[in-house]
Amino acid sequence: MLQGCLDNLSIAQEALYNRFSPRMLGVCYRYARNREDAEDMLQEGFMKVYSQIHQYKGAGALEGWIRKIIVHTCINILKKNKKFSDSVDLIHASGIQISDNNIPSLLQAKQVVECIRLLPIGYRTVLNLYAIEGFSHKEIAVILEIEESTSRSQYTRARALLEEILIKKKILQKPRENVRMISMNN
Amino acid sequence: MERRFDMSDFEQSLKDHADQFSLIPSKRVWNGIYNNLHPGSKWPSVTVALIFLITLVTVGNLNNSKKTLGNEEITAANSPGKQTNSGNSILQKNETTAKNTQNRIASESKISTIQDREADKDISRVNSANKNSAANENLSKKNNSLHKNNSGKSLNQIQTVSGLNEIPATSDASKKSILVKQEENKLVVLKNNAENSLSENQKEFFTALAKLEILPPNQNAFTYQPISSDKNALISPDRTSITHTSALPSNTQIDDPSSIITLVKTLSVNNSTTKKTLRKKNKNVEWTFYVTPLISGVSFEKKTFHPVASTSSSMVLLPNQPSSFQLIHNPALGVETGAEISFKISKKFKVITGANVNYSSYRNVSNFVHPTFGTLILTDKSGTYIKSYLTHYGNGQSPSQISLNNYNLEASVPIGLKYNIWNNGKMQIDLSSLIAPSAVFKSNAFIISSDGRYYINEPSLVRKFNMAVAFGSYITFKAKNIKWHIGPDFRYQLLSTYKNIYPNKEHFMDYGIRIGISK
Repeated sequence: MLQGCLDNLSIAQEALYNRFSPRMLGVCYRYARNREDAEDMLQEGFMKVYSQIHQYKGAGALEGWIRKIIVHTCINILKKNKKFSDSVDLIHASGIQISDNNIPSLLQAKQVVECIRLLPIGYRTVLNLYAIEGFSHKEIAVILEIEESTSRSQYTRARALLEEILIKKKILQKPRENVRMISMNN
Repeated sequence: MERRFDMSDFEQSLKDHADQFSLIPSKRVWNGIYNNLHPGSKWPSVTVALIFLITLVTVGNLNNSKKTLGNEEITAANSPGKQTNSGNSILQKNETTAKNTQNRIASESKISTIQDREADKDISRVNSANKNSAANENLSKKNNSLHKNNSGKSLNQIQTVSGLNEIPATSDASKKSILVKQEENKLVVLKNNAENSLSENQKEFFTALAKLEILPPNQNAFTYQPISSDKNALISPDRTSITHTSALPSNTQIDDPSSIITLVKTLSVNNSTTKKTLRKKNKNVEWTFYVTPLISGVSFEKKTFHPVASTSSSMVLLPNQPSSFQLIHNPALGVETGAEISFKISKKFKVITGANVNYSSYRNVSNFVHPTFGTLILTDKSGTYIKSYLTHYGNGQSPSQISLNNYNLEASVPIGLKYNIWNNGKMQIDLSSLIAPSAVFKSNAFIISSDGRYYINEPSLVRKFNMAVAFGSYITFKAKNIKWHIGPDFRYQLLSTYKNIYPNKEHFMDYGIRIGISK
């Protein structure tokens, strides 16, 4: 399949797309404002994948390599469209209405993703990059062209807000840590 | 029910849930990617569509009927309104004013010569309303004899000129000819009541008309009725009608001006400024444009594949591979479109030819394998040899199957016969059979390797030229001036898709419903 993509065979390219596009669209969906934007990001991301396929040397999984390109494509589109801002603060975030209507009744994975999408774009991006994609705050600062401290503070706020959302949606139950800890010690 | 996960592993849980999440993208995403990666693939279909449209427009223009009319004006006294009753000779007027009006009517069409033979030909085309058809024959003979009995000059002859520039006002030609003016499709002979102002020829002409009882000396107007003839008209002996083609308005009475006698003639003239060509549709020739959606399949000379062990020691058949197995192929959609022209050679038979473009394809069932080498055993004049190819596609005998599309895009020039088996005037049924040499200008070929384990992509083995036969039966009916032809069509590729060096033979087969229109 890889060789076919290098030879610009449409069948191989379609096979690669069919294999990785569902998961990659899930990635884009976490960054995008809506599904249409997510598909646009996906399309542009795969175009970059095919144009840079010759750079893949086989080190690491192909999916991870594609995912990295997709994520960078999503970030670039957000920056280009000025959808991302590092000035989002908690005041803005606290205005989010959390209700049962926000999230349809779906599988838990989708519920979690939908909760993530409830976050403001800036919080959501930092959360995605740090908690899910595994970038460090230093790397996030370079990618998003913000300060590392901004990245840290944004992530802290994003996590707190997401926890609140998940608890309110009863997807997450706040553990009684102190009680547990005490119980275990005893 | 509350769902739980450990908050101390918040990030990990978040990542796990997010990684599980996937969405199926809509088709537009892949279409957009494909169009960007392969922009050239849409050009053949765009080109074919353009050729089809251009052919349609061209044939539509060719089939339109147009009339030939010549507007001619010879004389200087051009418009009837300028006729005077002052008794001045019109001829003199023409001579004297020829120069003045040369520029004005120089752009007018020229007058053609009405030859004696035209009158003879018209004999057979006299108006059926004319009761005395025999008189017409005598009429023309009399005309000829009378005219010949005169000074030897044919009074029927009106000199052909191209604009006034060719008629010097004082030339002999102008003195001898009968000056006329053509308005649209009628010929106006200019006459003045003062006969002494007429030329000798003109006098003789009108005298002859009077003698033939065609035109009374004092009668200056009469009606005329059109007939379907396309030849020159003839004055009827009853003095009241002139036969001419249907191009003229019917039952038009020309009264006065008293100085004008209108003779109606149809002329086939070349008019450089106002020429309109009369083209009659040839009923024996018919153009048809059609499109045939198809289901394409393929037939193989051997339905079951027998693997051939490679002579290379590194290639062996897998021990669990059956000694022979059936390759799975699925039909796919195709299309044929083109133009067809038919020539009627007898009541029932027509010869048909034309040009078309055909897209045929089918799908091989395959599966992904790790990149490996597959071999083809090929045979040419120098002998048998092995060629190896890198491939990713298995023979489809495993689960998780995929489809590999083989197709041919070809242009062909079919030629054949059409036989009409039934016709009731409103509908007809025809059978056709054609043979179509074709040129393949785009193809894709996944070929099974000689050991039967892999599919190899090698389009260079596809023949560039091929031959097909086609059979069809069509119902033809007319609706709103358009003929529709609908019926089943079958096409079979005679020669194998691949060159002779590849031993496995395959032939495309197409079944479809043809939809055609003609006018």
